[in-house]
Amino acid sequence: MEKGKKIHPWRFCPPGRHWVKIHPLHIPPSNKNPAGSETVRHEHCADNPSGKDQLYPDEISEIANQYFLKLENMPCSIPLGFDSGNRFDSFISGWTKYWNDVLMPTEPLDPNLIKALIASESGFNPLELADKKNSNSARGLTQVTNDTRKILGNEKGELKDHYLTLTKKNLNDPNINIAAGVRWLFQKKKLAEGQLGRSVSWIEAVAKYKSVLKDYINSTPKGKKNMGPFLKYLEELKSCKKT
Amino acid sequence: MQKNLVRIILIFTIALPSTLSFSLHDSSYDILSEEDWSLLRQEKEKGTPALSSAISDENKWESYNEWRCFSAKNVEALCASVDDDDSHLVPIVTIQNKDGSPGYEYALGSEYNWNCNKVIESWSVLIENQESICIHGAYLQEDEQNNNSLWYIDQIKTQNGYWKMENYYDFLSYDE
Repeated sequence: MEKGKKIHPWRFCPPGRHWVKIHPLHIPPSNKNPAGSETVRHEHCADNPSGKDQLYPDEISEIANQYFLKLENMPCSIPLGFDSGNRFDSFISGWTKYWNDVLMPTEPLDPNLIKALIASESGFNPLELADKKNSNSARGLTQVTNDTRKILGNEKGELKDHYLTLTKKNLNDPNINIAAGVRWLFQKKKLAEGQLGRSVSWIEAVAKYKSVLKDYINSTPKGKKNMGPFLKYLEELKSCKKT
Repeated sequence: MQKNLVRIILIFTIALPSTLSFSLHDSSYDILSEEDWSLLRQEKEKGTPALSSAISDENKWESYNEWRCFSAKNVEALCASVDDDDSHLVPIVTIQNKDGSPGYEYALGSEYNWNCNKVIESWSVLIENQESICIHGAYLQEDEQNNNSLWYIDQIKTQNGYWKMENYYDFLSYDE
């Protein structure tokens, strides 16, 4: 545990620890225990070996259950032409607020930007897989790739803190996928700033997220094509906010 | 393949007098070094219990890792499944007494995506041909139904070496 470090009020455990929900363990039959057995382990907080902050799927789900019902600063509730366009607004609002609180950017992230990002990445389809023949390809609402999933949980990788340890299957869960996608956008903003040697806007961070940062800045056809739908959705959402 | 792993059971048998208890015994001093014994003091000085209650829990508790050594003949290492999901396996060590006295169930955290087979293989190398096994772990609760005491593993040590939770990255399945 890193003493003196603050923990977000939605978290269930002190800093450097993670929450484990009550769960059964099924012990298979063996020579010494031919009948096998089942034990139920109580809810608890476990120390992270590195002392760093890790979010696991159970806590991500429980945070949403407990805190996402009455949120302020929801994205604009227009469906952008998609059947499920408003279905994930509470997850968008909740995780945008959470990562704004934890990572404290100079310019807070706007939930409308995440809604526009999801519209452009997956059309609000939680089961979207970019390449149907490749299970490692971009997955879910925010189109997180398998490589990204590994980076998000790797304490020896490019993230310095605030990790999420997830499985591929978890990325099809809308709530977990949005938690991961927003965290990844914050990292992409940081990477874009390193690349350009200056602070960048959230729209430029989205361009980095979509791997078209230079094309977007240089207004190339590729940049316009890849960022066009996102910018259109964002404009719609921002107009809606003004009315 | 993972399903079959549930059935993978490694039994470590050695010839030791059956009177050896679960508690620390003389052979622990052949296994544990002064540095091992100092771990508890270090954890308490740092104020880092291995387990604790959730922030909202009215009944505050915390549990530090401690060493316990056992006769290896009572030890089984196997893969347990979580929530009836045979694709979600957790490596555990059970210690059972034939005389019916309370046993121990040491597990790794269910929140990690373990490559259970790899963990069990590494433990089997540690325990092979050993008389005793020492486990550094934290107490969670009693399981009265099965007459067991439930713990979490931080380290395992025998005269063959260590398995340490701090190296858990080497034992996770990243591709699932």
